[in-house]
Amino acid sequence: MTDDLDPTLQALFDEAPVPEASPAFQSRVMAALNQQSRRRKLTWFALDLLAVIVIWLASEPLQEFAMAMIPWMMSSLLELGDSLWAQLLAPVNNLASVLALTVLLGRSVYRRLIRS
Amino acid sequence: MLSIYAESHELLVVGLARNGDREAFQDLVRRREAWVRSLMLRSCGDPALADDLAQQAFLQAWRKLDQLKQPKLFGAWLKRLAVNEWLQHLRKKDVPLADESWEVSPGNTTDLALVRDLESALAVLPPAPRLCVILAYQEQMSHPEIASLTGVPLGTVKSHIRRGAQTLREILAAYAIEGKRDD
Repeated sequence: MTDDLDPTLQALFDEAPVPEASPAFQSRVMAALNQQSRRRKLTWFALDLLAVIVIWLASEPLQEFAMAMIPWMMSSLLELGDSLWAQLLAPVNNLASVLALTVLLGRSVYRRLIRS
Repeated sequence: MLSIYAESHELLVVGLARNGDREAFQDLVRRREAWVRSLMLRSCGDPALADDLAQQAFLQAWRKLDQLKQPKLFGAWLKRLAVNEWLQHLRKKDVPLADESWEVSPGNTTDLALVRDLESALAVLPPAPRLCVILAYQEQMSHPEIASLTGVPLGTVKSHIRRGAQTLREILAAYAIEGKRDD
């Protein structure tokens, strides 16, 4: 504290009475806290329930979508025939690998930007 | 059970509360409520609103306690939450915080019978200068700290404190003269 303060006013603040501790206020805060906790638990339960229902309803279409995407994602990007290169590059020579690598790279860049 | 907490150092009680111990948090409320309510009462001048704001600050504290990196700074952190509650309330009411051209209502200053103590004198000031004066004189915060806490520009904070303190001095001096006349 380096700022100049008026000593007379400072003395008034120092001498002014502060409210006494109030057990009623403490009880009120704890009651509100319990109510808040109950409300949060209820909200999380409702969200969990909603998530289960959504997953249950969407599971079949999602599975069908995944099954349809697999051949397309795994098809080769570059036609390398049956050469040794084709076998070596097989794990990354598809759309799924490219997407996965892009996500990893993007996440890495994002983290670096956030930390800097 | 609570007496165990009452005898413990606040640092330890904060640590326990961070781990979800409600009784420890209740003890923190017991330790700090008078201070927070006093800060809010002087800031808003309305006992019922002050208690509501103080309660909200404690509820926020309970929710965000795991974000408190240094338990030894619990007091300063709680003060920040309480002041933020008050600032949020002011923003909802569209009260300008950085307006330097404030005036004291003449009706308030001339009614010396109402200016019985520091609280009544503070009530004469508009909310933003009042908060700056309270943080400087009651909480011993520096001007940059107040600017950082309230988001009010440093120059405006200085102006609020200077003019606020001057107004308070005038009001309280006038009351002292009036009081001597009555004697």
